Amino acid sequence: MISRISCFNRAIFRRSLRRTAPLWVVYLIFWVIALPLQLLIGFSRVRYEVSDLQSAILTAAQMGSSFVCFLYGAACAWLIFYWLFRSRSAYFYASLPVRRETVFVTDYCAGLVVGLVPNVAVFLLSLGATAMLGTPQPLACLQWLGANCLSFLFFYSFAVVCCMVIGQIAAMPLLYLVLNFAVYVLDYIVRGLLRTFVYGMPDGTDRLAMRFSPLVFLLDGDVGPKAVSVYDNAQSVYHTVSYGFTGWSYLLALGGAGLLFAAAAFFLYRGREMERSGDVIAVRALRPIFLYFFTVGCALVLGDGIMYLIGGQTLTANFFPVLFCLILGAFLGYTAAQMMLQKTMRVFTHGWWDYLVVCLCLILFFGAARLDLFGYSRRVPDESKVASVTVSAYTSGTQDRPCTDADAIRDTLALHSYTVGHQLEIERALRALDGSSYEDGYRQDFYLTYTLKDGGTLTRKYSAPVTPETLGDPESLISRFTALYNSPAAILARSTPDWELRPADITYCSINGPTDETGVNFDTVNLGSSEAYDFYVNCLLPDLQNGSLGSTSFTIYQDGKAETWYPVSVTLDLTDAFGRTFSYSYNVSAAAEKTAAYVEKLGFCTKLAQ
Amino acid sequence: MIEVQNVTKSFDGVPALNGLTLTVPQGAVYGLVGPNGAGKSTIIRHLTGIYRPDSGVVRVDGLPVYENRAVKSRIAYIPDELYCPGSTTVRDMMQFWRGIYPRFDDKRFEALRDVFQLSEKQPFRRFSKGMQKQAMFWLAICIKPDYLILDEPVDGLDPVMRRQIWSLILEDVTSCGTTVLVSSHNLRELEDVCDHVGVMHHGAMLLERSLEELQDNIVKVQLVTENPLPEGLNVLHSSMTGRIQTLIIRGRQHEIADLLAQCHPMLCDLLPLSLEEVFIYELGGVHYDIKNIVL
Repeated sequence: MISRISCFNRAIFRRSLRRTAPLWVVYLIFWVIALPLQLLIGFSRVRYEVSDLQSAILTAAQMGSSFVCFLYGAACAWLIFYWLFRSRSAYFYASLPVRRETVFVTDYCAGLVVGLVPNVAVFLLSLGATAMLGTPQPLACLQWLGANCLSFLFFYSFAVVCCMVIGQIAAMPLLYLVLNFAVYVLDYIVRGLLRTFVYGMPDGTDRLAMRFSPLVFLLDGDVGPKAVSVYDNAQSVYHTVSYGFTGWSYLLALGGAGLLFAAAAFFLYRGREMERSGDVIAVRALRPIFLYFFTVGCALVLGDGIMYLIGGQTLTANFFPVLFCLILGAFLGYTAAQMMLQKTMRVFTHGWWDYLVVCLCLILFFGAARLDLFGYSRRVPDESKVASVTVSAYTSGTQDRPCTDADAIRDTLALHSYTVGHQLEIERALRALDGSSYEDGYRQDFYLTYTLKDGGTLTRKYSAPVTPETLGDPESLISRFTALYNSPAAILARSTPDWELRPADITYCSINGPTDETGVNFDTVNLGSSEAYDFYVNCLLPDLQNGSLGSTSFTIYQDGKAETWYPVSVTLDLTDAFGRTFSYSYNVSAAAEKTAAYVEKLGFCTKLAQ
Repeated sequence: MIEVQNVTKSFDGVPALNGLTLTVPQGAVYGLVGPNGAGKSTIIRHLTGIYRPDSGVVRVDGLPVYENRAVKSRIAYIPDELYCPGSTTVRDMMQFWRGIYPRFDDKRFEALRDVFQLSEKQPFRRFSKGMQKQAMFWLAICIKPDYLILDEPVDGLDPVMRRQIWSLILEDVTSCGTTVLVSSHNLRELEDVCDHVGVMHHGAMLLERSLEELQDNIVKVQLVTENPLPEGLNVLHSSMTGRIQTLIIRGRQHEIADLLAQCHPMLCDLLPLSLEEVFIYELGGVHYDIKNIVL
């Protein structure tokens, strides 16, 4: 019988369910073992806190909503729509007296059922398992279900779009894989390439780019279980009372994007020409887009790889070799794209205008970046627009708290202006260090991060040449940076937490150093929370505030010995009320009087024999 | 009735159909013939709603086929390359088709079980090519189509099963008025079953007539005469063995006989052409003939 609902066909639905049966049965078995069974086996014979149970369920939710959904969504879409990839099967379906809309909606729904129904079954079984353990966890189980379903909706719909675009059976998983990481990888590579010749360009990737590569973002930690702790005044400790799942706004956005992708897939399928089965790109309008994107993508990825292979790091400051590598990468990409589109190896007989256009765009973009036509390198924010500033060395200073002190902001802007104004001189000095030994000098990277009053941020990374000459010159960039970096405001910003510390916040405190003047015998002492708290409040903090602790000297090893040597180090690990962890390390010299006195009482020696 | 008017279709700039016009009368058994690459399978895929024409019209009973569920539910199509999912059985396929085609006849399916003698529980991958084709015919006949479109239908079937299947199809043609369009290179077989023939070449229709009209319009003559041939004869092909001339002449048999009488032949035999001969000589007129190549 034909279904009365015109957009749904039971025969096709049943067929799709049957075809995917091996997949969803394996998925169901996997989850039954990974969740309800594991909960029963893991918690039935031990004493446990409810929060441990919640943590186990929500950790499974994080794994499920990331890796598992990424793979399972693609597998479902591939199996359900695989008939589009072969002309025989595509013609068979197209010749049936069923409208395209009906075929798509039916198959798409079959995929959703294949994805969501096993999830509901696992949810019920997990709920039953926790009930059998005597501590039913409906909320945690619901969170597991919600995270999995939203994530599946996104990955499955995205994979369906890939199926609609692709006409070749092996190309679909490749496109799915590439597109899932494309934004993140290309952002990383473009930044890396620009960093080679755009003055001030910081490394690292953009969080926004990460959001467009969902698997990367889901694994990055913003989406997942988070402890909810309460402070016990009586025992001066935090207790984890429960776990919740964070990142719902992102998961909901993924679900919404999944619905949009489903709509896009629907329209792509309606316009798909069945004779395109077997082609790499089955939608005619997308063929030139594929050609350009693939060429540009290969220019960046292969160009970066070629640059690394032929020149390693020595090429990085040279614009023209970089451009040559990009154009070579584009050539390889263009040739491969044309081979895939035309299904022939003889692509050199056709016009190369497309390739020339891509090369011209690459030259224009990277040339403009090199000449700073976008004004990126010259930009120094106006003091009135800066809300706070972070100055850091070695890393981009993710745990440093921003400094709002007006003097600190002014000093930072002055250093920034100096660095921009002396670009050529600094770059020349840095090039002179290429190939020199560490004892002759090195580059010291530093980061300036502004938080603007309009909510934006501006980060720049610079390198300062460190040589015996620059260290001795108070007007040199490294001396200026050292002065700023060792100002009390900057020291406190990078060495103390941004909340009022309580004993329970200190999870670990360790003092490590020599026990005599020879520097041969070392010892380690761990302090308890209360002791560590007293040590922090009475010794570390006053010394940090007066600048005798926490300052950094950029030195050069000469004759195998550093100019400055800090014998004793203190490590302080903190956790705030939100579960965020921070780790601070202090090098204690005799100048830090209060701290030095404390550690000496514990048997450490802060002065080494010369 | 199937109507195709000025249909063009090209694939990546290569034309496959070039203003094709074709008409299949209601209840006819229409043989679609043509050399390889003429566009037969392409037009069949238009007729079954798989392809959308670049331009032109494809209609069945006055209605467009593409994305027309009502029209397509009355068409059964057996392609040259069958789609038989490996693990699917005949019973699975029957259940699937029953859910797709509203006129699927269960009783017919049961009745035809003895004819085809195929295991319903055996997966398609275990069937030979001929058995797979039998299964598709079994299912196609059961949906009681008004239009049966066959692309190289009996390829792979044994002679007994060929006759059996044709007899079932022709029974439907006579009893239900089913219209059959069949594309094949087996012209001897088409000659036995078709009443209309269309010859395609280079994506266009070279000629389209009833079989009777086609065979009446071209004559093979064996002639012995010492006089020159009279004016007005449209000779498509001529050859000579000894004194006997063999001529292929376009025209009506009686008109040709009258003209040839003018040259006082010692021998004049007028013979009807087989469909295969018509095909060869008609295409020879458009430079698709047998080349005498010495290797």
